[in-house]
Amino acid sequence: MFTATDLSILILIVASILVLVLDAIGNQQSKALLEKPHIGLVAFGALYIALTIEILESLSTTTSDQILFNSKIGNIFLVVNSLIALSIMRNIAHQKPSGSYFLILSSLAISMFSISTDSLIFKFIASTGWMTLLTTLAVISTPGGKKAEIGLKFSFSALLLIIQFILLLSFLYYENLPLNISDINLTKTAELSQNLITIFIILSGMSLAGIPPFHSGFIDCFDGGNIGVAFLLLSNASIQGCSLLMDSKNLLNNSSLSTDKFNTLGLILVLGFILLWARALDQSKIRRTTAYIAASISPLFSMTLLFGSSILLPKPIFIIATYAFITLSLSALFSSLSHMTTINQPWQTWEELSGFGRMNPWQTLVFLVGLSSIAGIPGTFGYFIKLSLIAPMQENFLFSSAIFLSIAIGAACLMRVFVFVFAKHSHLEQSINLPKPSFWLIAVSFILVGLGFFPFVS
Amino acid sequence: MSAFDPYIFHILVFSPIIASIFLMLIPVSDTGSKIAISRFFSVLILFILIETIIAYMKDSSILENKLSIHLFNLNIQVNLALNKYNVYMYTVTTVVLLFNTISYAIEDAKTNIHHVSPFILTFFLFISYGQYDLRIALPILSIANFLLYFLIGFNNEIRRGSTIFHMGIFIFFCDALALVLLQIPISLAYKNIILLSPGLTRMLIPMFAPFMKKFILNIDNKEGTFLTIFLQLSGWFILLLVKNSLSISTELIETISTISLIGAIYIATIATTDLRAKCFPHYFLIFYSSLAACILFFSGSDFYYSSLSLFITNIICFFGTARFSYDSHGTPTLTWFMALFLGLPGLGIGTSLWVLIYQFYSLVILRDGWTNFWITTTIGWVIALLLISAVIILSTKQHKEATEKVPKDFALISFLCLSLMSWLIPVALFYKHKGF
Repeated sequence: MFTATDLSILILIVASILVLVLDAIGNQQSKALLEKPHIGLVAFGALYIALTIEILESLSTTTSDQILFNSKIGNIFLVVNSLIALSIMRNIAHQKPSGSYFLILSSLAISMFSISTDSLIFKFIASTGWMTLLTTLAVISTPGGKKAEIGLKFSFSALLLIIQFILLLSFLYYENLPLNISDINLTKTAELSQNLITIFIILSGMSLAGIPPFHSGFIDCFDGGNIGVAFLLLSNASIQGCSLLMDSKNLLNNSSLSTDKFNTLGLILVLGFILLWARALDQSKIRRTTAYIAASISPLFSMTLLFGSSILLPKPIFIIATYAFITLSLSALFSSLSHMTTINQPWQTWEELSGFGRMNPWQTLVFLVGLSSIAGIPGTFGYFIKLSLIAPMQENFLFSSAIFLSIAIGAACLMRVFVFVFAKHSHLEQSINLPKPSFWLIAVSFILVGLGFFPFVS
Repeated sequence: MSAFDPYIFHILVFSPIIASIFLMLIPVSDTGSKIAISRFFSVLILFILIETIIAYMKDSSILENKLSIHLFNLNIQVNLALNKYNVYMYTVTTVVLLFNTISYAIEDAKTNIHHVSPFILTFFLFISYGQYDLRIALPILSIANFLLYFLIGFNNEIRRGSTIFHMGIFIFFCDALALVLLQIPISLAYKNIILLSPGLTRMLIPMFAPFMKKFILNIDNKEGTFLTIFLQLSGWFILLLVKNSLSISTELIETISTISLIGAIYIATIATTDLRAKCFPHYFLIFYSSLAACILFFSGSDFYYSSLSLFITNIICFFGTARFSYDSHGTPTLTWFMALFLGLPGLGIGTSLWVLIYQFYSLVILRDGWTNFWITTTIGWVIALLLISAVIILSTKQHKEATEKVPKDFALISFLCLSLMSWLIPVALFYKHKGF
């Protein structure tokens, strides 16, 4: 049956081919045409149409199937994230490579297909394809010498993903099991096979989402690459990876394995989460610290969708809130950094940020709100997201301790930045006054703080 | 009931934010207009408060408000309530805001945030006072601290960076720990103390605020008074919320009494070595706050009112004394203002302290007798008070050089106002409740 999502995917594929053709023609034309506003128009037009279709589809149909609802909301946020990524990339004038519109549109179409399909074969092809396209975009949009490192690390991640998927599919084939997630029932298979199948699907989800130990490519992409591409990679990878982890949850429910395995999954995610925060604490460079903090959102997002709950919010609203958290927090963080043109280079250290907040309070405010929200500082949206994990996992003391530890380390990271931006004086002889960030960016930061006032979690 | 009454409480809560918007609209350099507008709004807020209290006395049920947001099937509510606990907090916050805007003339145009911060902090306090649940109030107070860090970070003190770093980490640590523990229904040995830690930290009680000394030394002379009072008020309110949700055991009372006594002795000890005029009012403030926090947990509503009376009198006396100690640097006027803190019967803090002593004797000692614990505690408090008073009397005499002379008439009027207010506070508190 031809669904609305299929229509969106089709529009995006057609638009991606169209922008590729227009791009190719544009390269043959005069310099003025190289500004390519018409290509941007096609790309943004396709994205807005896809977004409208997805929103209308979500509003018109109701479903009790959580996986289906997740994929619908996931599709909407994939498009929203692509739009934000394009807006961030437009801020960075010197890093707008040819072909970026094509790569963004085609990767979006593939990622939407990946989270909508039930077939593991298609998920395998789409996930690896998405990673390849985004790696290409990350490499061509990186201006300096980090190209090779990013390419190498992402190739390694993609290779691992391929191996994990092949092993998963092999075990399923060996056990004569269907390759559609919803049809797989592991109860009649041997325990060893059940364990191996679930482990490989979890590992695939983790490597796709960039959850430690599969995070190095994502860190390097944000550290040395284009900020817009890094945003796109991190946000959409989290959504896709989490979709696979939700499938693994489904598989675990259809198996004879004990529920302890599920808690182990939580523990793996939370350890990765703490590892990222611990690494963020010992970094001296602005971009690298921010990269570790931003990467921590991926395990947090997965944990929230897998284990989180809210007594006060209906489940669908809670899921939307979780998706909104990742988009709002990352967009506040990445967009504000893209505006800080004087201090957003990979080699710059926190020392160079001294006194920045005194000269540019609005940019700094948005940046700090983004950080606080990801850190889960009480009074921000992120705090409620972290708290939503504690009540359902209250019997697991280690898990609650890890969440608390992440808030404590987050507070330390945040206060360190705060001291640099507000308490220190600039070393520069001339003050740098950047233009105010856009109204939307300031609104996003106020939403992140404003939502921290509403109790989402009892 | 007037047509305004159902909305008056909302108007009160949101008026500081409206004042902030007006202040933000005035250019940064136009300090004269900013002062005028801020004074106008603080007087207006006082009038709204008086109207709110009158409405509350007529019909207390109308002042339970729900701010609701309806979105599809979702209904988000933020409850705001005025009750016998928070009505005093609203009053003292409004009075402090008024004093602050009248006594503190903005001399330099730093940033808009400096100008609006007293109103924004008041708004945060107003919103949190309306809550019954610590899980809602604490995140609001927690995020408000960023404004404090900003103001401290912006001044010219040498160790401002390390102050906000240590203070920020410690307060966020305590807040997060308390909030996480509230989600887990486990019984830990020290769970109650952990839940109290955000309040005790904000009240700068030394065992819970290792950053206390740094904070006192690194706040701006003029803005610092309001910031300290903000911390004290928020800390007190957190203690109140926790107290209302806990079942108070004798062990808890004894633990809090011991913690606050150790804090008081520590304060008295460091006062002997630290002779800076800037620190004296803070030491007294923390000393009496420790005592008020300890008394708050004694069973019975009588102790609640006497503790509240001591706390509010302490805040009011601190406000005046801190302002004059900054301006007069140890002239005889400082000695007058310090006298408000000495606990002399009928003067300053003594108006509440002696009521408290009477209640302690009649409600605790006559009931339980002089147990070893109460003998030790009482002796400890008396020694600490004598020590801190003696040190401050002796050291204020040594500070003779005034950097900025305060007009004597103005100082005298302020002193008399504070003395009068310290009389009014216990009278107003005990008039209706007959606490003794």
